[in-house]
Amino acid sequence: MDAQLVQTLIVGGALSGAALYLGRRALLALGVVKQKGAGGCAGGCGCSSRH
Amino acid sequence: MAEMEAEIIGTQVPAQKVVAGPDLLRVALIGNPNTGKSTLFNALTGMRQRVGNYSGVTVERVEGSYCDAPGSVATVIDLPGTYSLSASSPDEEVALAVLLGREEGVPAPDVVVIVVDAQNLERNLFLASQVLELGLPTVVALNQVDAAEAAGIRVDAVELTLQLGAPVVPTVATRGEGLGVLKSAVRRAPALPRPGRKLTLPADAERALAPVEARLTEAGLSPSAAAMEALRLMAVPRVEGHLAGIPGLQAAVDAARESLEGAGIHSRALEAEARYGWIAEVVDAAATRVGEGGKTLTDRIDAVVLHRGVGPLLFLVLMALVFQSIFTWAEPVMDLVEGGFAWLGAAVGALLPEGDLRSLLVDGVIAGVGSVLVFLPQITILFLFLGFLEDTGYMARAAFIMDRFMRGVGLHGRSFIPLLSAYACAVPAVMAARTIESRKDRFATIMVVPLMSCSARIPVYTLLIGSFVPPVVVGGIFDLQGVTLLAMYLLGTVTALGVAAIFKSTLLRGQVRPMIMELPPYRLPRLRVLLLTVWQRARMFLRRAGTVILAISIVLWALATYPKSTIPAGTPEEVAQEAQLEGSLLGRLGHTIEPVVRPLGYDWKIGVSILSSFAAREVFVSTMGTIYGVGSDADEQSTALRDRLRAERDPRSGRLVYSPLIALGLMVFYVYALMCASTVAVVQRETGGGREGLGWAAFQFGYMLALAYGAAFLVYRVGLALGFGG
Repeated sequence: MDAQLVQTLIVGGALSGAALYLGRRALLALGVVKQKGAGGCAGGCGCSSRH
Repeated sequence: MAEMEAEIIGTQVPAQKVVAGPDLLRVALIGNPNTGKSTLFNALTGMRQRVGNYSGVTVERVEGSYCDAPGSVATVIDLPGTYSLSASSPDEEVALAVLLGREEGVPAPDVVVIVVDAQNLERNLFLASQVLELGLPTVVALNQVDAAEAAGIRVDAVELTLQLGAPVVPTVATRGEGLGVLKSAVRRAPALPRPGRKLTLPADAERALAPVEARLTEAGLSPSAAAMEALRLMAVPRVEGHLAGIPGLQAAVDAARESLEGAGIHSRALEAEARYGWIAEVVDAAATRVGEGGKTLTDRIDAVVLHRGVGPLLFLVLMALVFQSIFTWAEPVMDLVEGGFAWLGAAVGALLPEGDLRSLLVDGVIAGVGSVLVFLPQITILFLFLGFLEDTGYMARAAFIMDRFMRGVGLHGRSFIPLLSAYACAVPAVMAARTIESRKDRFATIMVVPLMSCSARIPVYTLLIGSFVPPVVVGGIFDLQGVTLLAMYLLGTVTALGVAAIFKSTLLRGQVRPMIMELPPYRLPRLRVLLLTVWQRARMFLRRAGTVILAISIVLWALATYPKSTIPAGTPEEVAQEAQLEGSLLGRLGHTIEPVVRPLGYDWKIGVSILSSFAAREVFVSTMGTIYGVGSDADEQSTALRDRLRAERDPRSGRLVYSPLIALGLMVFYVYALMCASTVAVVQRETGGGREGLGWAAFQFGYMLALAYGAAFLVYRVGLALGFGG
């Protein structure tokens, strides 16, 4: 596999991962999906629960 | 129930054979915990005691007896120590049932002795006021008068007798002082006029409670006991315990609550407000603080810290020093972290061939996440100071000082805790508002909590202050950077109080309720606990940088990199990079929203940074890091974001993009704007959820955005008019 293709795959993977992560966070914040053991916290910057 | 025995001066007599008569009194002893009640009980009864349990519960039942004259015997029942008769715990339930004669196997007392700690009159009189209302013959044992005198508290027993409507006997149970007089008062009490309700309720409340009192009277309670119980029932969730079987009582209580709420009276707080209002008057009339003798170190410190004039001033100076130290102490560490990221960027850049992967790592991840992480020292220092102040006991005093201002704007004193927590983060602060019972007070607090500057704003404030506010000394000891940061915190706090005042006089109009709080003694903080708190905060910040900020940085890098523009060969590198950025998705988006931010003096890059930070405020900084990372000259000497901002020029006009005025406007924008998806989500849930919650969350987001835009516009335009444009 040539180096250019590897770079493209890594960048594409990172971008997809980031987009999926942010999408999931948005759904969690909107309450569309629930996180296991979330304890009712929206996951703000000061929340000390371990999720 | 264990079989009880009453012991009469050495001769044991089985309890069931003792019949109350003219010479035999049944005395119930009641009081708050730690008032010396048990010591008094021991002093009265000596060794003549028996211990058992009340039927069906594991509450200890202690009885004894004493003889105050030949043939004149009193049996004493020592009721569990309790702060009130709210019947919210088995102890309180038993105490109330015994006093009302509704406890199985325990005859109603002939006389009640309330043990009141003279050192803590306010707190002790809550229970006393409830007991007095039962209308039983009552004597008040004013205990620990010696300790009160030593602490400079003098209680006038005669005045207190007049105020309470029951004889007050000063005692020192540990030394047996006043016991003779107390016994004599107990013997005479049944012949005295019965005590009753001294406090007055609003007419609406009297009307609402009347049907409940009627039910209770029908069930066999005396009118005075029924009045006390009716008021008490407004504060308890359900009719339970000794009143559970009374037909129609729960319905009457529900109807009374509705009626009270309809009249604008918070039913659950009615009793506490009425009693503490009355207690304040009683204490004012009967107790005085004398001299300085006996004052503790805490008292002496509080004399200064809680002083009406000096207290708030001291609070401000202390906060100014905290904010100043954020800059002076953090600067060297911040430079180190900044240097570390610059080195990392250069090292990764040298390792990888030119291309998108190198750009993603250097300009996206390292520039984006690194630009936020450099603020870790500031956040650590802030929480170190706040934790120190909290652990010493000062923060409770700050709550006390602030309560005056809170009440001034119509907020409940309990709102201070959520507002204070909001300096760390609005999410737990909004949740902390659950402790505020009144819906209107709770909603008013939630609506203003995000105006308090949270830790996510620190990177924004410190980036802009560090870049555009000179570190000059003001007022001899403070520097302008610290003062500016303090000003941002104050602006948010003052605005929160102002907005709360508006809400409380319009949308969420309601009564102001007093706050009762106990101030802990000052103490030296434990280093381990303090460091643990700081570490928890730092870890949260790091985790956020490694997750949300990282993900947003990657997405923003992609938006700033694609699509690739075709740049004619020979174009100078700086111009080519700018053209690439402008032609990217981020650039196009930025130019689309530019007309909206232009009136505030911002270019499209600032506009995009604001837009991206709607998810989380610190993303503003990481977006700046990414934009200026992507758009940077590879040979540029300084990689620090602050240096890049200071040097940034408009490619068309050649003028500097940033000025102190722009920075100030931006900071004011961030003081007010609700740019935190987590806060919006938690507000939606805490204001009722569903459509109602969504409505409140949308309203909050909208009013704060309008406030932010309006204030930033005003700062920029007024600044320009005053000639601060450059």
